[in-house]
Amino acid sequence: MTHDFSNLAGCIGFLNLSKDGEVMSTNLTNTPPLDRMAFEWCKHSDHFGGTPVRFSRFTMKDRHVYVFKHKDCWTALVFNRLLEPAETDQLCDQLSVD
Amino acid sequence: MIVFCEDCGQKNSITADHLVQNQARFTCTVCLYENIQSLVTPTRPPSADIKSTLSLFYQQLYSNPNILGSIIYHIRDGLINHQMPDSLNKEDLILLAQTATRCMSLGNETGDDIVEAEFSLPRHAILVFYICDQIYFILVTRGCEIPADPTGRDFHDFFTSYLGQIKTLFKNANTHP
Repeated sequence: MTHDFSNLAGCIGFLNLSKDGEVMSTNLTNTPPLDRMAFEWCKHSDHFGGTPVRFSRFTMKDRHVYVFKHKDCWTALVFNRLLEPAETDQLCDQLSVD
Repeated sequence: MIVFCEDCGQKNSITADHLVQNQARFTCTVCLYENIQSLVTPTRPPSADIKSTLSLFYQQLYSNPNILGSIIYHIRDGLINHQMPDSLNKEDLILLAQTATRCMSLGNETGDDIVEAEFSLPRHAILVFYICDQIYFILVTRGCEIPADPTGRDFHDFFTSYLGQIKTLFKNANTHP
């Protein structure tokens, strides 16, 4: 699974996590504690009352972390802006095929 | 599941083994206080000031047909206020609020508190905003995206302007109950 997120405006970095929370690939230099947080978010926001989540977003002061589920792993993307609905739709389509 | 110690306020993680007859029973990992917390708690009525501001806020919020409902939830005290469809009972609402707020508290270890979260479902979006002191505002939309306001107002601008007022009122209410 390889994706190039560098063409996404405002994308600060990405983090690919295995189903066990292991970092498979990232371009972030300060991975901890984001990897632990992202893994917790992935585990807890995977389903919402039995309904699968398309994606989840966690916003801090100036960062927005989007979490997308693949078949058996997750990708967390860190942005410095909110994404438009068309952009999240595109990412859902792009990442769900893996 | 994340719960907060009634004695020292420390965040504790518990499992299903700690849930007995709608109560969370656990020993705080920091102060060793023996907690017995009810999971179904009575609704805490908002103060008059908060009620008045919320009324105006709800009036404008629900003028947007894409808003399905909202909940104000306190991590320890449970439901404070809600405007959700009658088809959901109180236990459903609490479960929804617990699920929505659980992830936000998980980010606090970085020091960069999460102020907002979004869960995009196939038919709904659930937005969670931190107000103050373990109080969260949860918004449920029709459709899986944050709705565009038919009047052209930016939804986030509209919402955050009211959220500021609501935060101030809740903070004052907590300081001077």
